[in-house]
Amino acid sequence: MTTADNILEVQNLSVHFGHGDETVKAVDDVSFVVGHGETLALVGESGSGKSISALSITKLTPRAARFEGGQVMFGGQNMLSLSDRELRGIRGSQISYIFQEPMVSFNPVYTIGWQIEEALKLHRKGIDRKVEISHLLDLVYLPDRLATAYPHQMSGGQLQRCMIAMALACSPELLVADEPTTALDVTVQREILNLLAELSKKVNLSVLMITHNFGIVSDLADHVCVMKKGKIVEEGQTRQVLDDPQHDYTKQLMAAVPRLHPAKGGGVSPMK
Amino acid sequence: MLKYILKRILQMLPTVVGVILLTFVLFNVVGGDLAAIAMGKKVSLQSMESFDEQRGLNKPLFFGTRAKSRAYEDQDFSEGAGRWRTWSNAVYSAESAAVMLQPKSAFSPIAFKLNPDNDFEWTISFRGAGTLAGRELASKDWKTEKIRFQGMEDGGFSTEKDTLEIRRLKLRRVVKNPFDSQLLYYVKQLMRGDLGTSESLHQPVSKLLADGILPSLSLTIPIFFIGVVVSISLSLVCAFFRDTFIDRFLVMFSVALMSINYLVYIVAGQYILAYKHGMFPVWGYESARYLALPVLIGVVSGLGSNIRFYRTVMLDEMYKDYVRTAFAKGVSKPRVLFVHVLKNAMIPIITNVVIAIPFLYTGSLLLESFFGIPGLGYLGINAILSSDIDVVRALVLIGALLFVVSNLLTDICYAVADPRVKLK
Amino acid sequence: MNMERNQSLWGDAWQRLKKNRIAMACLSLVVLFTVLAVYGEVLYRYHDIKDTTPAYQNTDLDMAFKAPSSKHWMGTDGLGRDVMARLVQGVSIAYKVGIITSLIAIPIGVFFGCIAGYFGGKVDDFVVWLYSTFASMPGLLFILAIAMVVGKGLLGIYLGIGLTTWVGICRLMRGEVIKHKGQTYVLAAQALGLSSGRIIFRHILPNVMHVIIVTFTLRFPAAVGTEVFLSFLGIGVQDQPSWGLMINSARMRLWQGIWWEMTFVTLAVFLLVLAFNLLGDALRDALDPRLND
Ligand SMILES: Nc1ncnc2c1ncn2[C@@H]1O[C@H](COP(=O)(O)OP(=O)(O)OP(=O)(O)O)[C@@H](O)[C@H]1O
Ligand SMILES: [Mg+2]
Repeated sequence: MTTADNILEVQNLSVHFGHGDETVKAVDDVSFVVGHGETLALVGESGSGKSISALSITKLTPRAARFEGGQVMFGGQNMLSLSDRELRGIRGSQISYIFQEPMVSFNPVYTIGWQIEEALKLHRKGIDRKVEISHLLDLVYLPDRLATAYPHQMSGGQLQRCMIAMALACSPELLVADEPTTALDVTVQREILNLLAELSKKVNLSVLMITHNFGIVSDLADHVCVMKKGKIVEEGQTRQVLDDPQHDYTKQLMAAVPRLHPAKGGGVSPMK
Repeated sequence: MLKYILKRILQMLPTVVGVILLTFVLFNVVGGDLAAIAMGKKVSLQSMESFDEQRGLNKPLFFGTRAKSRAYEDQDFSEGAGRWRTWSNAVYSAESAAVMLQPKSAFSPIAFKLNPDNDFEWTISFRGAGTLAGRELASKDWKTEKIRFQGMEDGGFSTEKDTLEIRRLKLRRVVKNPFDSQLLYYVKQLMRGDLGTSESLHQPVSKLLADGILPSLSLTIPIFFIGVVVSISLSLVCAFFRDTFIDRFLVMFSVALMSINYLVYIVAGQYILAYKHGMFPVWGYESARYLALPVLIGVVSGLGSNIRFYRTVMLDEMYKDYVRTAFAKGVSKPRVLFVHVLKNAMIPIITNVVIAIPFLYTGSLLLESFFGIPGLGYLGINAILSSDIDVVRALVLIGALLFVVSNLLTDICYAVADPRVKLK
Repeated sequence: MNMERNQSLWGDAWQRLKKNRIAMACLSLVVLFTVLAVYGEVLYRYHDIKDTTPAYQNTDLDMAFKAPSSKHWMGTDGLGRDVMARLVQGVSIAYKVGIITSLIAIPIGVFFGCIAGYFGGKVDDFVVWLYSTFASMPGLLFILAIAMVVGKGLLGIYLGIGLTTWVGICRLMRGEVIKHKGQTYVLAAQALGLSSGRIIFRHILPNVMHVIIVTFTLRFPAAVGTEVFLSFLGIGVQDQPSWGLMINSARMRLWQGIWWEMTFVTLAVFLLVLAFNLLGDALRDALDPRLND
């Protein structure tokens, strides 16, 4: 069961797609924990099962996914055995998500304000929602007037800020950020990461951060798990893993980030 | 917004021109001899000529200074003697591919009295001597000459002591204004709002259309609305239960519905429900009760393809990222479906719905004739069966123009429903 | 390189199709209908050359309106002709219509779609104008009008259906070609200095072949349905046993309780159309690259 220190414990989780010879073990016997107020980074190449692991936590996985065993312990309960209704109560209020593509992750036909308000409506009763929305936009350094804007009228960076505002609307305990900056310009990436780091400190938020980028790992994460083909191949304290990677795969991944090792990283990326 | 609408109207114009051109090409160019299609081949040449005259069909197609006349059909004697066989003073020889007029003969190949106000022109390849339309012809060798004469003059041949051999002979009416073509006539007629006259019913087409529109609408509007509501609801059921037994069943069901021929719905519905079980009147257009069965058949026959279309639209939306975001916020499935997905799906749905509007006007061709509803569909089928050119052309043209207009309406609806469009 | 990709696309699609039991059932049905169609056509030609009366035209007024029996499995019609023999003959007419209208519509649509997508600009504007004009025409009425102008008989039907249904495939092809135009294999071919015609028809076309195949399977039943409808109205086939004509004559008799001709003909139309529809859907799913991700 969840120990006092950990907010989330994933134990021996397996998620498969397809049947027979076409079975894809997207997540294969994976275990990791996220401590209170800590940031865990999940890294790995494309298709290694990071997103599926993250979505499994609140059963947001695609319909084709099959849970083949394991547990996801959060707040003393196994999320995988909760009913749809109970899960809805947790999604957005205790566990929030930030997705990779801000441009398509908002509903194009509703305003940003409407979409943030929807989260508030669902989980927080008896507050002045207008005030709360402008407060949330303030938090992510956006002007109030953007509440009446439609997604297509905003830039990717602005939208990702809105996404953060929406995720934090109901003061969740755990934030799952699935490659929150991959789709953004390099200059904007920095701002968003700084914002995330700042806010998670401010409200003592636990974060599960999914990324390709070891730069982000070293800046934000306390712990790191390295995934390959659905399995965790290496884990540990961030400094420890970065300074002395044990697994060849981790070394390859690190070598593939030119920012950290410009001398080695000039060649063709082994990823993808 | 106004600017956007104006721009769209401007973009619509080429299609309108295209539609007018296409109906023109279909009926006037491809159609060839409309008089023969409309009246059969047995009527006199003169009544065909007046049919042509009335519809401007005796003019050049697009542009020209000469037009054919039915008074004399072009003749090339290398292909046979044709109508000349019946004239005893003309001797046909296949060898020289020509006819020879005997000496001292006089006759006119012109079939009926020409319009006295027009000028005409013979083009003749001949040898020998004689007169044509009062002009002397004389040449030892083969020679081609053009002879112009007025409609009131006698346009016939006469010979004195010599023979006249003819190889080719053409009669043309001289057109005073070369732009006075069938196309111009057609466009002018449309500008006046004149859609022509029905040959079989002897009434102006516009009156027939005005009479038929209400019965048609009383049939198609209920079909349309009930159809849209039922198929959207069923497609939502599919989306809600996607990949379950219910969804799969509905998909199979709609393919089966689609595969049943329209005729079968009508015949079976009329026979089983109306005739055998007496649940509905079999035929007629007297009260709302008479419409119930045709409406039912209309709805059911369209259901299959509509469900499939709307389901695809809904499912396409269900796989978009914003749906996952909504679920991640803790939104319930019905709310995701009805509040998030449906509003996005409205955009393709509107297109599909508005585009169907022109078909409301054409009515339902077969339903109307089977159930005796005196609408435009009934009119259309009868017009096709009796080759009533003007009626068919008017129905096709107006149907097409309505389609173009509904396209415009769709775009305006788009702009209202989708915040992204306004900026463009 | 992209030939290989193509092969594997077809191979994979076939593998997937083989697992789909409904699709395989439909495929067998389609094969059966095809055999019947060929048989019917051969029979027709044979009797045409020999100048004899084929069985399906044999009238025998003593045998009129006989219910199904061991001699006439599907009964006889008002002139004592065997319904089953006529039904089989109807298959070959349905096929002729399906195939010949496709031979008119698909080349037109593919040609215009390809040049519009590939060249863009003025060519594209023209093609878009052309197909918007055709698309504006009120479907069935326009087909009827063409058939009326061309004259009764199969030719009117071929042209009516063929000349109106190229629009859909033209649109699809245009979209596909635009998608492919930016891909590396096309850019490479351009860099080699190949002519546009060669690039379009030898390089791009094989890669969008699946779109054409699926369109063919799905428009086939639609064309058959339209033919039934036109022949029913007396505009189409005149002296051959077309399904539309059979339905028309059976309709009158239905009221007197003569159900067999109606039942078997509608069943045949239904099965043919259903088989093609389902097969087309299955093919599309099997070839849909979205599912390959
Ligand atoms: N809907 C699905 N159907 C079938 N297989 C899927 C589906 N979604 C994911 N998978 C499989 O699950 C595996 C893991 O996918 P996942 O999205 O978790 O990768 P990822 O590590 O997040 O990659 P990326 O860095 O590209 O986001 C992939 O190999 C993929 O084949
Ligand atoms: Mg991912």
